[in-house]
Amino acid sequence: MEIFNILIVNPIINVLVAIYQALSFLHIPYPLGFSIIGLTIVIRIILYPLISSQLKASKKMQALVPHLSNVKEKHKGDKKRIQEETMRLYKEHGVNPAAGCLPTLIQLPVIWGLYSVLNNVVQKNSAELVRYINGIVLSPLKLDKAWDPSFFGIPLGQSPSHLMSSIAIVAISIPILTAVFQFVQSKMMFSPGPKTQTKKNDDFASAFQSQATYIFPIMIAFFSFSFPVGLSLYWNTFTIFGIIQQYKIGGLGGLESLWQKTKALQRK
Amino acid sequence: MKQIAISGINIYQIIISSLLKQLLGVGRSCRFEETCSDFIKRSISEQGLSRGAFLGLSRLVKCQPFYRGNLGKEVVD
Repeated sequence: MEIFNILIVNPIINVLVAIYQALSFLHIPYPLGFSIIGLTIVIRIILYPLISSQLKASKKMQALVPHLSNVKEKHKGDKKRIQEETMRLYKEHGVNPAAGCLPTLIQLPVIWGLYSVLNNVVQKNSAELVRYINGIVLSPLKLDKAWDPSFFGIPLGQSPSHLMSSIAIVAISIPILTAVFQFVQSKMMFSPGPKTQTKKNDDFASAFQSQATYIFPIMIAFFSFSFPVGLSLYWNTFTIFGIIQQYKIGGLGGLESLWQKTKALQRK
Repeated sequence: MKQIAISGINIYQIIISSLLKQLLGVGRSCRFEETCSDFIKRSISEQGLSRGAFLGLSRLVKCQPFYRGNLGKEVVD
């Protein structure tokens, strides 16, 4: 785990504290909450080119599916010819094949690192926090006192499940909002159209995949109900940034049909 | 053993992969015509567990932008 801390956790804490110190210096209220938002945006900007190229490639590849099926039908059995024609199609339509699974998976340790840092720092008491942070950050960034863990009156270190007795409306709205943002992003990811894969055992698989658009947001809502609010703040910033990036590259995607239906209902 | 490995990959393909795509916010990300998990399944059933797993691993290493070889369906041997 030492290597994970050196490569991921410690740099993340340094950036978080640097943003925090800058915001405190400028006397911006609730610096911890805004630092979490700032840190997430910094990470998202670093990941931006990686995700953009992935989204662009998968969008173009999705558009090529009907052409590829034609090619396969036309040259059935002649693998070499199919391969050549596929490459020709890619070239013609300016498609670079997706970057692959490995670059996509690079994101996972970063997401995990952000999660573990925030989960750790929002829950520590003042003395522990200062000792922990000062043991990691570069000397100009050292804290002289613990930070105020509240964000617009909401304690970032507590979970909505603990806040139910005091601020029930906030405690309920946080998981709901988290689920809604996640749903919007999931829906936008998959544009409707011809099915891309036709495998034999795939009835259940494709059913699960389309249901995942609903299952995942519900799972995330449960997590955000039981995890500290600071983590929901991170996850929602992460998702909103993702939604904007997705919109810039692929438009509304699968959300388009839902949007049209809502508009039609409004007209009635 | 072979069957257990293939069932494990089936579970990965149906459940874990779908949830990972949601988590990472990307749709299809494999650059090959036949996805890496399909390829590993096929190589395990055709070549046995250890050789199949080795072929699968070497395939995973190719799933990155610097690999310039064949992206179509490969022959398992």
